[in-house]
Amino acid sequence: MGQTVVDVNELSRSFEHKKALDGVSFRATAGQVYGLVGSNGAGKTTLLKHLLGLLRATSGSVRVFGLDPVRDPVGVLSRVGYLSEERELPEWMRIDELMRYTQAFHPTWDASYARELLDTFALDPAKKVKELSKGMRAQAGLIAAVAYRPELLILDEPSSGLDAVVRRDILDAIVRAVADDGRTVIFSSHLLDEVERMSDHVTLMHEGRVTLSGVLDDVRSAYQRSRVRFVEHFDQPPALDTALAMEGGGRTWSVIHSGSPEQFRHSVVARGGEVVESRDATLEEIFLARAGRSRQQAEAA
Amino acid sequence: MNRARPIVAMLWENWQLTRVEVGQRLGVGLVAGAGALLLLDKGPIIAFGILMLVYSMVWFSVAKLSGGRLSDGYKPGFPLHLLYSRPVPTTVFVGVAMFYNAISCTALYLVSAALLGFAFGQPLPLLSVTLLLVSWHLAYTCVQWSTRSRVFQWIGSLAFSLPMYFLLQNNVALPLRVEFSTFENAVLVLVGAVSIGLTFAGVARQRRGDAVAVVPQQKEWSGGYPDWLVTLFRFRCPTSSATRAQVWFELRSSGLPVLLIGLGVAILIFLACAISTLFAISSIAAVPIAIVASLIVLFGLGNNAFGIRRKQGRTYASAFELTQPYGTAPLAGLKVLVRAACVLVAMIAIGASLWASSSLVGDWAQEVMNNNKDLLPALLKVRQKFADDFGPLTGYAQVALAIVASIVVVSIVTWQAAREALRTRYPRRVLVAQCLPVVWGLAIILLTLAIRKGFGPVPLVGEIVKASFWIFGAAMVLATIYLLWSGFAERALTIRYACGALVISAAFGAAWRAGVPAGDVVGILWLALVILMVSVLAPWSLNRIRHA
Repeated sequence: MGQTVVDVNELSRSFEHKKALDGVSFRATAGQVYGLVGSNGAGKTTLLKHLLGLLRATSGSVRVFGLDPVRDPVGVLSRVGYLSEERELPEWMRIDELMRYTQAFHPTWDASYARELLDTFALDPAKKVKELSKGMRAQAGLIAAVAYRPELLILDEPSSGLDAVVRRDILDAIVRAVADDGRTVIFSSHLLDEVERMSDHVTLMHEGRVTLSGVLDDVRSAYQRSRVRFVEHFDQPPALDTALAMEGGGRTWSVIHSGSPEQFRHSVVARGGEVVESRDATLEEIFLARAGRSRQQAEAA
Repeated sequence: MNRARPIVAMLWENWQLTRVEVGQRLGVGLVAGAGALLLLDKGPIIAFGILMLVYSMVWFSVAKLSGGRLSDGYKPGFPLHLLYSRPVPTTVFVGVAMFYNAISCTALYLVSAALLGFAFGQPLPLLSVTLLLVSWHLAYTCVQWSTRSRVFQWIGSLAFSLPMYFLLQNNVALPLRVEFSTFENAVLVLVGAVSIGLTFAGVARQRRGDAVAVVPQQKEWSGGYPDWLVTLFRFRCPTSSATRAQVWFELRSSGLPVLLIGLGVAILIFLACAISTLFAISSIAAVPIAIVASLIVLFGLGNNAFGIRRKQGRTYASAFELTQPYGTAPLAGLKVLVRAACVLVAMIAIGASLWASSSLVGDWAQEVMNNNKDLLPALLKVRQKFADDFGPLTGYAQVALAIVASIVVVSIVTWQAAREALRTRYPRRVLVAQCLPVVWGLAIILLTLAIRKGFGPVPLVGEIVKASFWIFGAAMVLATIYLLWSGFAERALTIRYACGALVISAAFGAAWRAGVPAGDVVGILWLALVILMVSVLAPWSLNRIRHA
């Protein structure tokens, strides 16, 4: 286990009457890539902003490199690279000015790496930020965030605006290079295939809470998607142990379930059915099942 | 299609956007007008001037319907561009907003003037100025909305407001009444009608061609200054230190544009006076123009030094800047000092221009003076007054007063920056705080009226004002102590910054004492305390938006 880089404990944050984060705990260690997934308003960006000290916790604690980002912003921010979801960059600046401006704050700036990335993205240093497309802004922001080789890279929806080639080839490579270098990446995304492809760890958020968190492979192996067939015809999904979500109808149903496969199999047999086939669930299937489950629980409450 | 519902919906939207400002303007107009009627000899004419100023000249129109303020990321053109995607003809949504703007401002004037006239038994002009106010607002919205060219907007605003001002000035008579001839009324109607037509055409053009371009421009970073102004001076960003880079950032993004605008205004004043022998009016107008220009530079361009952005009713600070590894106290100090320095230089340029201009008009003015001493141009009067007041002072005293003036400018810029930050973080509390002086003024006026009618002892108001002075002073002391304690606890303040604030505050007191030896010691202490509080408030407020 590497050194703890981020340690969030029972973090809660409210905006007037809306609870954006509710008792969130999250830990990140060096050299790993952490993917945050969740629907809109789940609290991903709010959590990332707490890591940067842009938001103050209502309760709970946030430590980045053992420091409180609110009390010691310089100590934290000098070691963190950040790409915001809004891609807020000074519109009047040219790209080379943006690079020089960022360089002034970071003595570890690697000019050759920045140039290499500019070439890779084919960005013209003489162009103003206001002349860039959304994707090009993301690329410029990404270079400014990674070129000083920060110990922690925080990316909020990094793929937004990027085309498929840049997303798959370049972003993945940058993120992987950062992690291989022993540094840490935390990113949020709506694209579950991207999280599945890039992350070592996944954290699923829903309505301000962490509903699932763990090593990606462990998470995936803990959930199965099974196709089950019953003798009896069911109009409503039959109650099965460890089932999170079911879809289908009549005698054949597809079930996302967690926990012991044996327990699930016994439960199916007890209802007069059989498991036809079973495989590890994809992250998207897990996400949809967990989100649906949370919604049902909220409605029941 | 039933047009009534979209119109009602748009009126509701306009009301939602402007209701707070309507209340504020009504309060300020009533209190200031009542104060003038109550306390001054020429009460009615001054009250009338105040109302005209409040409802037309200062806040030309409801700010949010005029695209916001310059320092808030002011975006020229029609401000309610989200309506472009609605199935409503351009004439309908432009007409609704335009008439709402003109009618609401005029109605505010009429209500205030009628209330003040009734309460003090000194009637103010009502219906006779209605047409002027309506066409004034229509013309203003036309200039602001029909084009997205800022240069056209600035020049256009001057081009119509100066004739309007002189038209009003020429038709005011004492005892207070305003009368326009039939021809003048016809011209006002024509101005209004042409303005409506031009606005419809201009916005229709924007709707057809500019709709797409409008959206990305909302994210403008440069504080709304024209792009060519921001990029006029290009010099490389230093990479040797974060402080130097931040100074470069502040200068490029807002400091130099402010400076250049100030220099531009100074040159314009000089040119206007240079041709004064041909156009006598320019000499008379030079002083009000210079005063208005200085106020615009100080309160308009000196505003929002922290670069708070506004977008779709949301106020926020840029995450890009706030996530740079730079301490809050030095960041606040640096932002304020760079902006204040540029504002100060701009104001000095305007003052120097005014001084030089008065020399230019000297010969011509002497001739006018010989013919009719009442027509002594205002510019020469100001110059003479300035020379009389400051000429006899020693060089030491003059330097001291220059230090006082500089610290005052820095403090005003600092206060405005802190106020914007607090408004972003605590909008409701700031609104309540802003209303307190108005409520206080209203209470004092009502009390004075009551005492005049024999409902209380005469010295009561004086005692209340004195007590308020001490209460406010005590509140400032407590607030400063709290800000210092809280600032250090949150690490928003550093020892170095706090010492700097103390030194500036002490320097202000010492310089004031040196420049004006007869000054009241309590008054100096009071002002020094204001400066200390404002200096400490700036990093504290920036910290509150940096870590919201």
